[in-house]
Amino acid sequence: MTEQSKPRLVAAIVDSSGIKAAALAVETAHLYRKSDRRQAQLAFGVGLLSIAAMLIIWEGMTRLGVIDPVILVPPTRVLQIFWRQLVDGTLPLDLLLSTYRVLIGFLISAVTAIALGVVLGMSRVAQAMFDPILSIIRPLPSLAWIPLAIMWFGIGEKEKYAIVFMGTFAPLLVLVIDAVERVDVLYVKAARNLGASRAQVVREVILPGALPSIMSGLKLALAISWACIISAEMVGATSGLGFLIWVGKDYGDIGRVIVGMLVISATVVVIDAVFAALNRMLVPWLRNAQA
Amino acid sequence: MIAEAQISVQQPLAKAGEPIIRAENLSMLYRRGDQSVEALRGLNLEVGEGEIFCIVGSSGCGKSTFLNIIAGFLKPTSGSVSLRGSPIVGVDKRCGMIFQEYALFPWKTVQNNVEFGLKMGGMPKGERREIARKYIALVGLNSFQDAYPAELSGGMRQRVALARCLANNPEVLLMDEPFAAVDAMTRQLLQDELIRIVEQTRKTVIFVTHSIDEALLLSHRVGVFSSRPGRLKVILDNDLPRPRSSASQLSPRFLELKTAIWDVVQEEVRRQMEVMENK
Repeated sequence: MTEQSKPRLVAAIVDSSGIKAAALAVETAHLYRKSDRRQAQLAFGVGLLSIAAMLIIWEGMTRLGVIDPVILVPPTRVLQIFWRQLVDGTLPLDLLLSTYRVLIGFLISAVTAIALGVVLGMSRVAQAMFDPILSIIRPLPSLAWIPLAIMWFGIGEKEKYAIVFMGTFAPLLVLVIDAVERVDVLYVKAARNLGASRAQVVREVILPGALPSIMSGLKLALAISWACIISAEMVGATSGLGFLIWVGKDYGDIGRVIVGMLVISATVVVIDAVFAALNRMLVPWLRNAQA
Repeated sequence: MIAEAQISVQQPLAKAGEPIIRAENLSMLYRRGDQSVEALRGLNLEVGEGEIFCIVGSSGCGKSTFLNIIAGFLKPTSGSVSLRGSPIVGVDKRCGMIFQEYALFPWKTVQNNVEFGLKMGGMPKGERREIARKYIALVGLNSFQDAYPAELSGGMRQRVALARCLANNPEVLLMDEPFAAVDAMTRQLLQDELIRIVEQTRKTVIFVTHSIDEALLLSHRVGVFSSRPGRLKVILDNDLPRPRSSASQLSPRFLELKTAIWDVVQEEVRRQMEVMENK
């Protein structure tokens, strides 16, 4: 506590002489970051160990027959199945198909929800008009849309896009409206004072101001998209990761089910990494923020 | 009240030069539900070109309301404000506002913040770049053009806000307690810098502050706001010799003026407290 307040005090004094405050602040921030990094490394190491321990126990229990192979197969067997499906191309194809369906539905949902969300976030009248509709569709769990999508579009690719769209649109719209509303009116005031038109305010203030929150909304929507598509593929499909798992179940093939689940888990890890990279690219001003 | 005889109480007319801002009979009534608050009543003021006019007054006396009306953010209930004879009817970029909270766009670098007004006006990139550089240099932040606001101290942020405002070439600067959020030492530096910059750019300034010291250091005239409903109760001619510095605050004349202003402010603060107690 006292250690942390010292460098700040120095920064405040230097500040009065006008210049080097930022440089100093960056320096001290770097010091903290260094110890943060060491902690992160430690946490990562511990994490690896715990996974290794879990795998060894799992392998041991299943090999020794403590766990019935109908309930769980050993991790080496899972790896074997994973490898076979990877080499024969079924797994990559299923993954690709699911990803494609997710992306199409997600993009349609993102574009429409952001556009409508900006309008609703800025206009009380528009919001009053949409609020009743939104309050009806918002509480619906994403999966509740599956029957309707199948009835409207029949089982097929369009139905998959529709399920993703329907499942993500309402939650994303709500998040975008909230993000737009939380942009400080002070920025709008400053922009107008500097001569910005209303359209310019949307482009130069509302969108960048709401962007960090919109990005976290999109990340959430993408996770929901995956949940939607896996479920949709379980209910009615002849391809995709959800189908893969469902067929595994039908054959009583625990290994295949676990492979499918692990791949889904991996895709979410990839999504998180992609969003972290996107954030660094699109929201550079929060990278070095101190406050 | 000894100082009273030596203090010239001014009419709300512009002192030097042509009046650039003229506020006539301004009144402002806020309605919240069935309650209404009278923020301004019958306010008259003329500010001359190149003048620094400081407004002091207690919290909630309508000072900010007044600035927001001049900037065109608020429409007065009655009365009008004109700039060089043409009335202010909407948000007007001829009146550049400096906010206490800086209001820099966090997503833009110093350079892009300063360029903002010019970009909105459709100026080509190369040209506005050059102008922005000039004003960044004017406020002494040359090496920080690529920094984001979050990387700067409060004093530096307010300098950027000043550069952003000046780059847009407004006729009047409206400053709403601009230095209230920075530490005392930085504040003094910023005051000196503001005097230098205003003399260099020959801008007219209307400056709202809580600090009588600050008002006396900066202004040509000081207006004291009455507590709600806000009116200009007294306008004092600030004849402290220029150039002024923190040493000016030690002169007997400074103390006389400060006492005179404090007497009026004190009276208003008391009146307001009584009003609050009676509620």
